[in-house]
Amino acid sequence: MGTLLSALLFGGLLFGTTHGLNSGAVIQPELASNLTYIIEGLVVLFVGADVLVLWVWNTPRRLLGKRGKSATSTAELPA
Amino acid sequence: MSTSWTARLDNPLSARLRDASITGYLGIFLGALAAFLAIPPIEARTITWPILVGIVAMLLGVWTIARGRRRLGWGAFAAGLLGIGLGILATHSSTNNLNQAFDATLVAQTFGLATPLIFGAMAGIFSERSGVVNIGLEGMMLMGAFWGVYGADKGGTWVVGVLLGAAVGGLLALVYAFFAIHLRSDQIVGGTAVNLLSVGITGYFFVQLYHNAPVPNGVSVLPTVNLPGMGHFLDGAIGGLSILTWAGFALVIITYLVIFKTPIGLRIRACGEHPRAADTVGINVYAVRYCCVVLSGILVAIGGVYLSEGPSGNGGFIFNMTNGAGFIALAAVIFGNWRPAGAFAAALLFGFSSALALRLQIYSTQAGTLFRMLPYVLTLVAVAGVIGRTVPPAADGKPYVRQ
Repeated sequence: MGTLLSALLFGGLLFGTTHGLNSGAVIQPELASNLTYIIEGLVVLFVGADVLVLWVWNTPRRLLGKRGKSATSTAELPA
Repeated sequence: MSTSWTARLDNPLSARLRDASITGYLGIFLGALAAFLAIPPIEARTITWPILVGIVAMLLGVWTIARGRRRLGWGAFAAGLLGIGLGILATHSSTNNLNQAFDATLVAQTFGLATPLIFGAMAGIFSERSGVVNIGLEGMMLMGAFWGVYGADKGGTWVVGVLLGAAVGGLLALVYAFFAIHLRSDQIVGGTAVNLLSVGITGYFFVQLYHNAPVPNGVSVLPTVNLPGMGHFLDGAIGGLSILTWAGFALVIITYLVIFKTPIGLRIRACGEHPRAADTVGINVYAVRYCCVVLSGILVAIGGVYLSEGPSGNGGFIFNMTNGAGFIALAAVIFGNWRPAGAFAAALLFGFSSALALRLQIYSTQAGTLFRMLPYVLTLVAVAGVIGRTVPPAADGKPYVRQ
């Protein structure tokens, strides 16, 4: 299922940049195909770096945990 | 007192010559010689010599097989057979065509086509010996090719081109190293991403900066090192090679010395073989791997600069102009068993086959075109392990996590 979805993503990206931007109103068609390569490269690069994705994914939880811990430690401080 | 002839054969030198590996390699050499006997500068116009030498090569192959070195023996046998076939073919060709196809410039062209592969292969050795598979060599070479031309164009001299190309290659390698070493991403996936990024970035800036048109004339190109007065053949063969070709030859020696004869090389190899053990004796595995990957990016990018700024590119850039040279350099690393001399020989072989393919157009355009697939066939042969068992560094491609 994941393979199908990612294939559709790349397919859509290619079609959009080769057919959808033919008018040149948004971006030069010659540049568009190269931008596709760059976007594909970045997607592949970050998909490979699952450690980074997990780190970003867990950031809110980590921040909330830190805040909770600091609140607890403040409460525990002697008057 | 006279000794019998069998006893006289029983000395260390004779035993060494009868060693299966020596006979096997001698057979391969004679097989190659059988093919070369009929072409210039020897140019024997009879089929007798190629057949005789080829048969000797085949017999040596059989001897080697009988002594247990089956793979090497079959290699010598095949080389003898191939040598006979090519020798007979060459005797049927006209002298004029032979002189055109196999003159001294074939050697020069071989060195020229091998130069980016040599840089790429040495780059691959540094990276893989430290334990990082660098599939992104192709992309880093492409970046070197484009930014080398840009630097030479805007800076006014090829030196700026080489420096800018190397810097950009090193920068891309640093990004790749961060993902491969620190973020422990899959190195094959990361390398593929680098290749995709490089195609996009070079294409984008080529359109933006040069509007998809050829780079203007007059861009400073790499100089050649002229060595006159060495005789007709040597003048044509090595008398006018590019400065980066000579630098490539020097790089092979330097790589060998650094990897195998210095404490730094020992550290690099330790990180590639057993990073945990290296870490326990105080070697910073991450730092060594970062340095090696960045160095590999710089070296392969200089190979890319040669593609665009050298005699074949002549100061021009074409979209995706590396055309798989980075991957062939990686195959040369495997072919050469992760050793500088082996990888250098493989790069020369790939360069020779590409140069020969260009020359065979004299006989037939189709044959020449067909022959151009030889480097890729050789790559498949190398990767499949037909030539011999290749042993990569034990921790090659495995991310290291510090305890």
